[in-house]
Formats: sequence, C-alpha cells, structure tokens
Amino acid sequence: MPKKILVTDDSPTIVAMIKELLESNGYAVVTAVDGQEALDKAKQEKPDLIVLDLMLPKIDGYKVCAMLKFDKNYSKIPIIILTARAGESDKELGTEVRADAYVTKPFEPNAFLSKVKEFIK
Amino acid sequence: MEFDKSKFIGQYKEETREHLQNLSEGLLKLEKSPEDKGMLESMMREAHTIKGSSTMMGYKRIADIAHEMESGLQDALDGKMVLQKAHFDILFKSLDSIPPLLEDKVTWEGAGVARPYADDLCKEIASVFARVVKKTEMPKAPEAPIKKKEAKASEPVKVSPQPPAAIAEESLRVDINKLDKLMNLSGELIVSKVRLNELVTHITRKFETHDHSGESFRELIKELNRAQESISSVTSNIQDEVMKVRMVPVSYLFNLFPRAMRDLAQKAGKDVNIEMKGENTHLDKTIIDEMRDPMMHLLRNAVDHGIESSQDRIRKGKPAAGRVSLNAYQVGSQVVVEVSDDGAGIDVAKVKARAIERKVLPKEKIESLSDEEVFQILFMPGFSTKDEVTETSGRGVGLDVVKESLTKLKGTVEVISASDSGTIFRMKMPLTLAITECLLVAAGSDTFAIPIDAVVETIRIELGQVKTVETREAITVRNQIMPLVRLNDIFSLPTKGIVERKYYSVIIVQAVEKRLGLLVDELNGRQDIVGKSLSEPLKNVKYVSGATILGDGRVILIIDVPSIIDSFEGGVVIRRQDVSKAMPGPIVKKRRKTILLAEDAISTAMLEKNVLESAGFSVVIARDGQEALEKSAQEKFDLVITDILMPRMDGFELTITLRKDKLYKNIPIIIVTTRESDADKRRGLEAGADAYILKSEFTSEGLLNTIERLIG
Repeated sequence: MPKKILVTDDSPTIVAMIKELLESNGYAVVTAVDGQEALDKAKQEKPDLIVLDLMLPKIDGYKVCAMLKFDKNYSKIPIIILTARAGESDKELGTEVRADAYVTKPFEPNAFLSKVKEFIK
Repeated sequence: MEFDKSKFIGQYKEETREHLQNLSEGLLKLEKSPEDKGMLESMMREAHTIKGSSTMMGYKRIADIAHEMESGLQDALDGKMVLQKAHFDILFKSLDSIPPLLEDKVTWEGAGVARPYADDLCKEIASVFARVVKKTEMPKAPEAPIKKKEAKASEPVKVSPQPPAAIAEESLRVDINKLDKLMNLSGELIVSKVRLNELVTHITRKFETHDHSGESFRELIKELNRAQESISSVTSNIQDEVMKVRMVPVSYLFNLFPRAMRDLAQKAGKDVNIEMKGENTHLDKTIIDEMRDPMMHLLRNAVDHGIESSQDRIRKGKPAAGRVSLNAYQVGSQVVVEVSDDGAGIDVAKVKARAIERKVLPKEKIESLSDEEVFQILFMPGFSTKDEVTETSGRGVGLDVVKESLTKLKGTVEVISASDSGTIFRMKMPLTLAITECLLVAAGSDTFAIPIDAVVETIRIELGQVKTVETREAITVRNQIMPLVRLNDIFSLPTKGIVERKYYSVIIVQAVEKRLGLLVDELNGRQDIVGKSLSEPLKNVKYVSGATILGDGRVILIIDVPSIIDSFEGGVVIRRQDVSKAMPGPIVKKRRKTILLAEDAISTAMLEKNVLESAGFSVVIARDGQEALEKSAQEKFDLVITDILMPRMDGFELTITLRKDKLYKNIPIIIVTTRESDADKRRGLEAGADAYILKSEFTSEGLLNTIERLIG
C-alpha cells in the first residue's frame, strides 16, 4: 500500500505540481483546494501526511492545522505547512498550531521530497 | 529524476488569468464599499495565490508585484487605512502589468527589461500605500496595530462571494474550430438519421402490407425499429450536448466592461455606475466574441454622448452619478442584449439638423421623419452628432459598425430613446448560429427553408384578398396592410402544379419591425437544420443566406428574410422587369377591354387615357363620381379607375355604390390619388377597391402592370 498524502493549496497549478512530484515518487495523493475540503478529506481519507497551504479560502490553513492537531483522532497526522510567506511571525504561528514542519515557496523539489521522507518512513 | 515544471506553465497562465479577472471584478466592487472586510480578505488572497504560484513557476516579477499588492491589501485589512482612489489606481495598474509578463517571460526577464520595470512598479505600489497611510490616519488608529495573531484568532474568515475554488473544476480549453467540426458532423449525423427514419418507416410499412414473411422477419423489423429509435435519441442528445459546449454565460462578455467603464468614465470626467442583469443567459461562444466590439462601442457612446455631467444631471433633478445598464435575456430562440443609460437621450432635432447638413436625404424628407426613422440615420456610415471629437468615441464612426456586426450575427439592433430619460440600444441575436429551426416551403419545384425566427404566422388567403397598393400587391392581415411577394417571383420559378386554386399559403415574415407576406405554393413543416454558408461563386446570391442538406439528400437554400424585406418593403424593387416577363400568363388580349375613368382634373384624365389606349384599352372618361355612376349604368366596363377628390360624388362613395351594384360587384376598381395616408389607403380598400395607386408614384408601367394583374 503506497503512503497517502493530502495536498492542499488554492492554486490548482501548485496542487498539480506537487501531486505529480509525489506520485512519481510512489506516493498516493489526494487533493483539496480550500480549507473546508482539506478538513473533510483529512477526516475521510486519514492520510499519512498533510501538506497544507496557509492562506486558503473558506477555512484558513492555520485553523485547519489547529483543528486537526487539537483533535486526538487526527493529531498524529504530520502536517507540513507550505507557504509563500516568510515572516518570522508566521513561523511562530505555525509552531503554535503545532505544525510539524514549515516549507517556504518556492521550494526545490528534492528538498521538499526529503522533508516528506522525514515524516513518512 | 529531474522534475519538469514546464508542463504546468499552461495551467499556471490560465489560473493566473482567472485570478486577475477575479481581482479586477472584486476591486471594482471594493471601490464602492472599501471597508468590506470579506472582500478585502478575498482580494488579498487572490493576490497571495498569484504570488505563490508565480514563485513556484519562476515568474519572479509577477510574484514581486503580487506581493506588493498583497501587502497593501493586508494593511487595509488590518485597518491601517481605508482604500482610496489612488490605491485603486495603482492596484489596477498592477493588474494591467501582469498579463504581458505572463505572456512573454523569456523575452522580458531574459532581456532584463522586466526587472527594472517591476521594481519601479513595486516601489510605486509601496509608496502609494505608505504615503496615504500618513495622510489619512484612521480615526480608529489606536486599534489598528492589532497583533496579527489576534486578528487570525478572531471570527472565521468570511467566505468571499466568488470562491476561487470554482476554478478547480476540471476544464479543458478546446479550439473553437474543433467544436465547429464536431457541430458540422453532428449536423450531418442528424441528416443521416432523418434518412434512416424514412427508410425504416418505409420498410416497416412495406412489411405490414405484405405480411407473409414469417415470424423471424417480423422480429427483425421490430429490432430495426428499436435500433433506429435508440439512434434517434442518441443523435439528438449528441447534438444537444455539442450545442451546450458552445454556450457560455453572457457574464463572460459583461465582466469585461465594468473595468473599461471605470476608465472611460474617468477619462470623460463623469461619474458613472454600471449595472448588470441576466449575466447567466447563455449564448454561443462565437456570438459572444463577436459582440465585444459593438458592446464596447455602445458603452463608449453611453458615457461620452449619453450621460451628462454631474452638474447637468443635478440641474435636471437626476442623481449625480449616471447609470449604464447591461441586460440580457432570452426570448424563444433569440437572446436580447440591451445597453441602456439614463442620460440625455438622443436629441432628435440635432440629428435632423446634422442629417440635413450632411445631405443624407432631401431636406423635406428628413423633416417629416418620425423619431424612429431619425434614429435609423444614426446607423448610417460616418454619422455623428457630437460636435467635438473625443478620444474614446472618436468621430462617431461606429454605430454603422454596430449594425454591421449585428447583421453578421443575423441579429438586429434598435434604439429607444426619450429626451432626458435616456437611451436603450436593444440588440437581438440568435442563441446560436449553428442550428436554425426552419419552416420548409415549396415554390415551383424547389424547396426553401425560412428561419422560424423570422416567421410571424402562416395564413391561407384567396386570390380575391390580394389588393394592389401603389402598383404592388398587398394584403391586409389584422388591419395591417403589408406587401405580398410571391416566392416564385423572387427566384423566377414557375408555379407548381395547377395554377388555379382557391387558397394560397402566405407566410408573414418580419425583420426589424417590418412585415411582409410571402406567397408560397406549399408548406412542408418545420425542421431543425444545420445551415452551411455558401462559398464563392454563390456567396452573394441575393435573398439567400445559406444552404442545408435535407434527409433525402436534397440541397436546399435558406431564405434571407431581412434582405427580401429591405428590397420589397422599401419600395426599391417592385416586380422586377425580367421576372414579370418570365412569368407565364396570357399576353395576347382577345377583346378590347373597356375602362371607365373617373377623374376631374382633365390633364390627368388625358394622360391616363393616352397610356391606357396605347396599351389597347378602350377608355371612357367621367368628370366626377356622379357622372361615372351614370355611365356605368349605360355600359358594363371591365375595369374602373377613380380619383378620390371629385365634385358631387367622391371616389370612396363611388366605389361603395358600385360594389352594391350586382353588375359591378366583381369588377376591379383602382383608386388613383394624391392621398398618401395609410388611413386613406385602408378606407379605399375597405370601400372595396382592388388597388390603390399614388399619383406621386404614378408610372404608366406600374398602372399597366396593375391592370394586367386584375383583368389580364
């Protein structure tokens, strides 16, 4: 069984790119384009890892992260926050909502993959 | 494995364009209510998303610009300022700068042009936002520097009215030519289907009449019928679906304009709001594309010529800001698109004056035109009433272009305007150009298709109901006199079958507001047809707009109703010389026919007598109605021609009296008069006259043609 990763970003281009990148490395990918969908899919699909953009329509990425991390049914799913923001306060906030890692756009495909591998053995 | 980003470029560009469009629409709304937090949030996110994907794809300059936009919007969202015009100006400028960067990244970034350009723009954005911050400290400034954390932790983010999620639906861009081919093929499929239907029906009927082929054959026939039914329904579905693929909501067109209107209004120094209704009406993509320029033109006109300056408006008691509305709705198989404004309306006197100055028509004629007719002048090439030339509307060249575009789309445009309450341009066009529902008619041995949109009704008439007005044939339908044209005459075809018949089928057709009766030999029902345009050398055949193939493989022509109405209603073409000569009919007279001519003006009487006698008639003149009545009792004439205004008894009374006389009940009566009004024409025809000829349009040929038709 390939490991399943939920990828969320409101840019379909980025979703498609990451999906391609992960699939070509043997992962199964489910996608979401807004916070609500991300939350629903996280609960339905129980992915092994979540890649989450911060600024999402409907429900903010931080909120999604917080809601999952503070729910014991899902709190063990690792979450990589993905964002174009690079301010320190954002990283702080990420830690506060218990995100597991923080990747800034643009990212190098290989660096991103090795980050993913840290969480999925 | 090397990861290849390049295959995502197409998707990235498409996505970015959508975000730009969302921003463009959203910022316009935001400009109206700059403190709408939900909208601010949504705009900021759009900019943010552009930034994110641009960064990933390596479009660094776009990312920079989007970043500045996002920061500015973030500040506004944090309550550091209320967005003002300068902010919106720079935001719109930023939006405009992105598409070229998107199109040609290599050239721009490769040549190092983009960088200084984008850098400058970024600085400008930053400075506009920074500068205005200082100038307009918000009253609630103390609350402004809320820590972001708290802001984030507050109420859930409001859902924007246009969630960008919509773009995540799977979609595909397809070349419209491919769709056209598909459409054509599905059209031909329908043609084959109709042919198959006919064959199946035929075979089934044959089998039923010779029912001795056994059970197995009966089963086969049943099977065949079932297969045919299923093909039928699948074929219709295919056609419907292909049609739907071509249909897009009018919003695609409308959404282009609010932004343009903002610029136009700004240039003209006017305050104009734009309103839109019916954006969900669907129209063929091809038509939508063709409508862009004419719509743009009408909007420019509305802003430049229609909407008054704020001072003028206030003086007139109107709201200071003008209103331009776009409206779309469907009526049957047509879509109506209206561009209206609440401006000054069209100044009829001014148009007339300009028309006289330009000598478009003789002066007297122009002065007697109705308002509607005057509006038509506006559509003539190169006509404008605006004295000065403006940058946007130019020299007023354009309404003719609007009309031309609509004509190309088989549509029409009309104007409704009232002084000081505004102007409406109403454009009607078919839903699609691909399929037309047509009425099939026969004339001579040929079949023609008449687009159903042009058909008002079909009626049956007796030849006795055909009158002659101004040397042309006419009929009265529901109190309206309209010209009657025989389809056979238009195409010089012989009449089909027996010429003598009691009833004739007439199709009342309409274009713009003009109607005309088309007399045909047979009606053959309705059918959906896929029209094909004609190629050279048939392209310019008059009165024909295209051709189609019927189920039995016959190629038939599609009638171009507007051009027929133009020619025959406008009085340009009467019955064409060559046609009337080609018409079969008795040319040799057996007996000299006698005509009674009632006319008090002796010169007119002598003129008509000469014409008639040279054509071989015998003529008796009466000097007034009373004398005519007396002469009619002494001899039975074959035809009576009468003036209206005469001493003792006028033409109307003479006609009515003669009609009561058994001998003259069925004798043709022609009224020749100077009275031009429709009321007089109707009165004459109601009195029982068969034809009504105006002295102003009198020609000997016309008179003789009329007589020939009545007693020839």
